[in-house]
Amino acid sequence: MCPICSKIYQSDTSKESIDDEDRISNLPGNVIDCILGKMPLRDAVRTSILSKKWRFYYLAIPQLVFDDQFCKEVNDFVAKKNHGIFSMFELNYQFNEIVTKYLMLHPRRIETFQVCFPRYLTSTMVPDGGSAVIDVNKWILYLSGRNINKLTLIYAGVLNYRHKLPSYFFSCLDLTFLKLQNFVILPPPKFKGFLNLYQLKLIRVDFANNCFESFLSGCPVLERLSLRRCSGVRHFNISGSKLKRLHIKAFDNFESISLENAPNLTEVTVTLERLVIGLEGGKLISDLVKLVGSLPKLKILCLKWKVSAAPI
Amino acid sequence: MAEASSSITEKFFLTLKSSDGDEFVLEESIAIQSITIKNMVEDGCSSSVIPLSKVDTETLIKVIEYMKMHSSTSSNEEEIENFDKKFVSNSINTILNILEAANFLDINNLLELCAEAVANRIKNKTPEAVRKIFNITSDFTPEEEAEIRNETPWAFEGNLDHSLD
Repeated sequence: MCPICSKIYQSDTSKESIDDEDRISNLPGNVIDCILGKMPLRDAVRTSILSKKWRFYYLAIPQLVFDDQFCKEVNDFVAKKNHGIFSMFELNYQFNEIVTKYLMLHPRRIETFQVCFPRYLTSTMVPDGGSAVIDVNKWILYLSGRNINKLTLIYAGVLNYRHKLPSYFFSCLDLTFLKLQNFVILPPPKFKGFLNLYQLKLIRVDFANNCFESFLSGCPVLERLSLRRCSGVRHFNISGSKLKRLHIKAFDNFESISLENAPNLTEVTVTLERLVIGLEGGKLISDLVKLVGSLPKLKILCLKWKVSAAPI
Repeated sequence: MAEASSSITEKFFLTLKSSDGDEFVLEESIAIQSITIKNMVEDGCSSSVIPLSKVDTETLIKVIEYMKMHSSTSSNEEEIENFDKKFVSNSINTILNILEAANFLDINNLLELCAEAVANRIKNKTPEAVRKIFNITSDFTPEEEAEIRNETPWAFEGNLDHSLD
């Protein structure tokens, strides 16, 4: 065993000469991608100036994350540029410019795309979409041909505006993770579903034409589903047997939940803000939650609601 | 009954040979965290010594330490967490060696861990500091450098860290 130790000592002395060698620049491309993917975008972008070798490495990061921190950085930059005066036009221009540039220049497959739109922009959104300040449709069009796996689009605005997803959104068939906030989902008639979708998180999403059930039946491998304040979901009937975790919070006009055909469910949380119990046309809506038919694997079950009388 | 169970739990061992020529005997169940080694085992190429021509002894010792900690059923999450924390406090050159080895051996967790450690030494630093930490020599003229800064001025704003920690 001891020969090893003597060997280490030897190799240590031989290494001293290469201690001042530039090791990082010669790492394989996939390793550099991995390193750059572990830091905020801004830090990755700054590596472009290190040396000619590093000039374009940052453009190939498989995860494009434009999160709240990014928004703040762009905001700070714009504020400084305008001597402390907030310019929405400038912020909008910069934000769109940077995100669009990244997408267009990306040389390889984009695995993850995440955008949290700045609050200022979303709250002044033009509702008809015609002159929408955000280029989101353009980005989705671009991504739809790019085998994107994980997609997060968040409009954090305070208004009730919901952005309708363009039809080509439903061509992102490699999606495994999807998170949306403040969007309208209306799949085109021939949409077969997101066959690889494993996790779905929707916040304030509207399912137009009550398409929720048909949309869900197009996601056969879905294991995690989280719905918060979504609309257009009247009946919740799980037919997919793969679902493991389900979190629902406060629907409008929510009428029934049926979990009878979901044998793999281990965790269920249902929070209803407005469970209306009352006599309406002689029909008591007490069967709102038809729960727990046969859920052999259920470990956590959490049900919460406020009861209020129906208006007469 | 006892015989049957002992034959089931029989341990297989592999011999890994570093680029410096040192040999290490390791349980197969531990070694196959490396997908490269796993593939060799499955292809039947592991009956004798597995030569790892790209991994020196010092690095291989670290990699084995990591694999032992991360495969051992006796180590709990907290132990692993503490081990990882200590592991990434190695010198940057050692981390880069392990990073390369992890890539060659295809040990994804280890690759991610070391990549993060490297990223943490780039985050929030000035380009000048990053160059010093990693011995990168700039081959840009000042004019070229100014031009690149101008492409993405937002990324160079604010207070950046000059230290070499």
